[in-house]
Amino acid sequence: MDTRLKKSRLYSTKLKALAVIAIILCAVLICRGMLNIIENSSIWGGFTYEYSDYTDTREYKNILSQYIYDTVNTKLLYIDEDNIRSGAALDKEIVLSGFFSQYSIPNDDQWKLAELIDRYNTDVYTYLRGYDELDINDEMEKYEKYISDYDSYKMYAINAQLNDYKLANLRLAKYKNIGYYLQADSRADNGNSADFERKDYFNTSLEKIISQDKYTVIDGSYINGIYIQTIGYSFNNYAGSAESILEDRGYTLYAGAILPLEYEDELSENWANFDAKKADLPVVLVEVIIGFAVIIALFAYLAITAGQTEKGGEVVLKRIDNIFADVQTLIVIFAIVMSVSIGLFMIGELNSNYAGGFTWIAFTAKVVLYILVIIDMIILMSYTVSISRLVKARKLVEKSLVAEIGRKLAGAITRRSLKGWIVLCMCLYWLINTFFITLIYNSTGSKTAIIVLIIIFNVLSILFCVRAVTTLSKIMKTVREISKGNLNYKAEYSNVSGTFEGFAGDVELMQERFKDAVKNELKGEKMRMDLITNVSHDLKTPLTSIITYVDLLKNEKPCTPDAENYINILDEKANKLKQLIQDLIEASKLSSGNISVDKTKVDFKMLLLQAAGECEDSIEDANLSIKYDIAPEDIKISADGKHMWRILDNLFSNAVKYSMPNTRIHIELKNEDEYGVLTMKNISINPLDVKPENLTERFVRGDQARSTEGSGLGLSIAKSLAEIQGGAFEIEIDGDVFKAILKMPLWQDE
Amino acid sequence: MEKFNILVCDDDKSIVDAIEIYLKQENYNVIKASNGEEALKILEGNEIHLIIIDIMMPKMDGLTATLKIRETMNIPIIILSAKSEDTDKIIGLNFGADDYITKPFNPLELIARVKSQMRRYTSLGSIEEKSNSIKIGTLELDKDTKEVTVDGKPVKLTATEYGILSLLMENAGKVFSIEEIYEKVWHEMSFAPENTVSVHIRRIREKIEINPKEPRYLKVVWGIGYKIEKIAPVLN
Repeated sequence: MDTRLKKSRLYSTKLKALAVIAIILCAVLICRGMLNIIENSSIWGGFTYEYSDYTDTREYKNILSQYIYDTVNTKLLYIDEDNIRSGAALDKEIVLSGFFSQYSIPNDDQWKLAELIDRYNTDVYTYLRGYDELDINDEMEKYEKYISDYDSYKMYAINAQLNDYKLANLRLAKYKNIGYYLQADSRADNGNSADFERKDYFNTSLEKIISQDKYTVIDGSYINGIYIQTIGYSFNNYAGSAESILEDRGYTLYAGAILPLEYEDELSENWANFDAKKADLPVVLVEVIIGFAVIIALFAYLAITAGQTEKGGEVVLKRIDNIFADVQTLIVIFAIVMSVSIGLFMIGELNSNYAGGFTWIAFTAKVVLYILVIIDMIILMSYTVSISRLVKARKLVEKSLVAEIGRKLAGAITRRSLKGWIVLCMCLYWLINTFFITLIYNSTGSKTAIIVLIIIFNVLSILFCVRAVTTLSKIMKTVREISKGNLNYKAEYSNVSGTFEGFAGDVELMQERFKDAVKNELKGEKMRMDLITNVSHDLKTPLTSIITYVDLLKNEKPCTPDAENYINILDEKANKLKQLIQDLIEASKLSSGNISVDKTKVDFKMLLLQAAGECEDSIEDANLSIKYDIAPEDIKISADGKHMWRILDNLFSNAVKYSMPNTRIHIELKNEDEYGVLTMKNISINPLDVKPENLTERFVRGDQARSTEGSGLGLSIAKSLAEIQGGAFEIEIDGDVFKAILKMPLWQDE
Repeated sequence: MEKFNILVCDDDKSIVDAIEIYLKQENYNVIKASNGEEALKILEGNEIHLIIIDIMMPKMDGLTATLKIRETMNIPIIILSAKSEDTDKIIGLNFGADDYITKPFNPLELIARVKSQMRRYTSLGSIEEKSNSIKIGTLELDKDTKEVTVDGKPVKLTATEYGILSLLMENAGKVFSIEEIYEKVWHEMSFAPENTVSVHIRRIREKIEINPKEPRYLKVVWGIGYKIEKIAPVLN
């Protein structure tokens, strides 16, 4: 129980939140430590562990080199303000080149001007007379202007030197702990300043400097001891470098901090600061290392407990896990790269803007760095936790974009999904073409080969498309044929495009299934048909007995008038039953399409007259007469005569059965479009309260009472017969007028 | 006069009995059987002149029986069946039956057909060489006397009916349209469409055919015309 409790506590949200906070705190601590080291290194030009003492630092070297420069300048070059004012401290070459560039003196004039200035006491006119080819007046003016410009520039340089001299003296006063010794050595003075008093300058004894562990000796251009890079440079524009001055004047300089430091100055402060920081470094490093260790441990903890509330518990995925793992990785890498570059930029800013004290830029840079670290930590934590959740749920591979694309591709290929294929093909096509075009732009050799390749590739692509489309159109044709009812249509699938292979197979399968279905349907239809035939045969046998015995009864004498009447009714009904059974067989045959049609050229007029002749007696018996309205032209139809007779027989018997006595049957026969049209009208004895279309349905009669003779199949049979011969049969009702319209296709001579 | 023996074979006893009554009225001797096997047995021991046989029967069906009978005998066989499809009729006739009557039948038609078959079977005479006589099946037309007989029985025809029938019989097998018949018989052109000819044809059929709805001789070719079937004459 206890351990379990502990375990679940270990997985509790509170603890995880604490870990997150701890990670951020550690990160901030590490960042602070690192910044400290970086900051100091920027001051000293390196990390404290690189230096044995302060004298190795860049800061010290900078101070020392400035000190040396100032000393050399003040003591050997400037000497005093009067000397500067006289222009003796100026280096003519430097001043001249400065003047040329400041006043943009043309190159052609420069050497003449230099010469003129060199012979300072020669007036411009005399000087220029030496070049008699010149237009003296113009040149005079120009050179006089040059000379006056040069004078003012020189004054400016002298002022700058004066200023520098004062500042140098102030700077030198600051560093009382540095000792120097300028020794006038045996090297000859170059004679540039004849009035210069050659003597040693120093603020401490040479022995004291030499007794130090570290000091700098500059003997002309040779530097011993602490190497000072900046000694070669000139700190201002109007004097040479300390090196060249020492060389010119024939001096050797000894300089260095005099230990132990006697005075409280900036140097001693910096020295103490460096010693303190150097002592702190191991502590900071340990801090950073521990911080890292803690962060790694906490990350591990978060990874282990991720997605679970107890050990071995169910892994619950978060919404963030729906982002593909590799996309997450890319985002994290991108974030890290971004923050590293931003961080480096900020550190650079810190380095260049560090002035020992507070600056806004350095402050901002630090804040940005801290924020970056915090953001990175949050991103890393979220990433770690998400990935470990996915790993634990064994969904890392599944939830990756690469896997997703792979799945889509594999799906496209295996399932033969058209969309997948098309997308794949188009991508491939695009990629290959792009590749070729890139090749053209980048190739240095012959481009013809590549162009030929492109053409071949594109022609192949077109052929591929054409093949696919051909296959598709084949399939479409098959489907069209099937839709027309041509189930046995066999498409020629010899050269099928892979894309539609499955489709073609499906269509073929569909065709087969459809065929089977139709076959089954036909089988069912045949069974039904057989059933009806058998049933009607079974009905016919007893009916035969009934009819024959009724007939025998009729001949039995004597019998009462009533009995005779009864026998007649029996006879009539038995015969009606017989008719019904025959109609039933015929209707079922027709509805199952189980009937042959032998179409010939039939004279519709003659057919009508023949039929009318056959039916005349019954028409006369029913007190009806026929009124013909027959078009004079020939009406030859394409039909099966026997079926046509059945239709007309049914129409006539229908008219005879249901017409009002003493009325006329109107028969119209004419050509209409591609049809021979027969219209038969009669006046119904009963009100026709049925819909016309219902009359051609099986077992529907105009009279709902079904009292009259007839099976109710007559019109249905007529309609079916007309339709199987390619004709049409319609019924129209207008009040009591019953109108049957029979349309049969006209005979077309080949 | 010798009584002819007719074998009636049907598994429905009531039908056999009914047929017996009709045939006895016509002075035939009736022997009854209820299936094909029985019929064959009776045929072995009795002199039978005509067989009326059903198709659907237990033990041996009518078609098989007909086949077996035809192996040895030439007597007329009339199939009487509830199977009314054209194909059934064709099969029956091809198996060797001489006639095919569907159930339910008209007793008078049955008798007429029996008589017709009997005449064909029992007539011993030869074709009379009457030059002016046309014979088709049992239908005979004497041009001299203008007499028509069917199955040896005289038929009363009107002058027009006679004209039509002689035209068709003289050209047996040929189909005449209504117009042709009208022109050849009435000797005038037909102008208005009339059903006169078809009415006459039907009347002739009623007189010469046993069952006018299923004519043996005078046939309607629907939408084309009429014809007399070309059938070999039967000896009288």
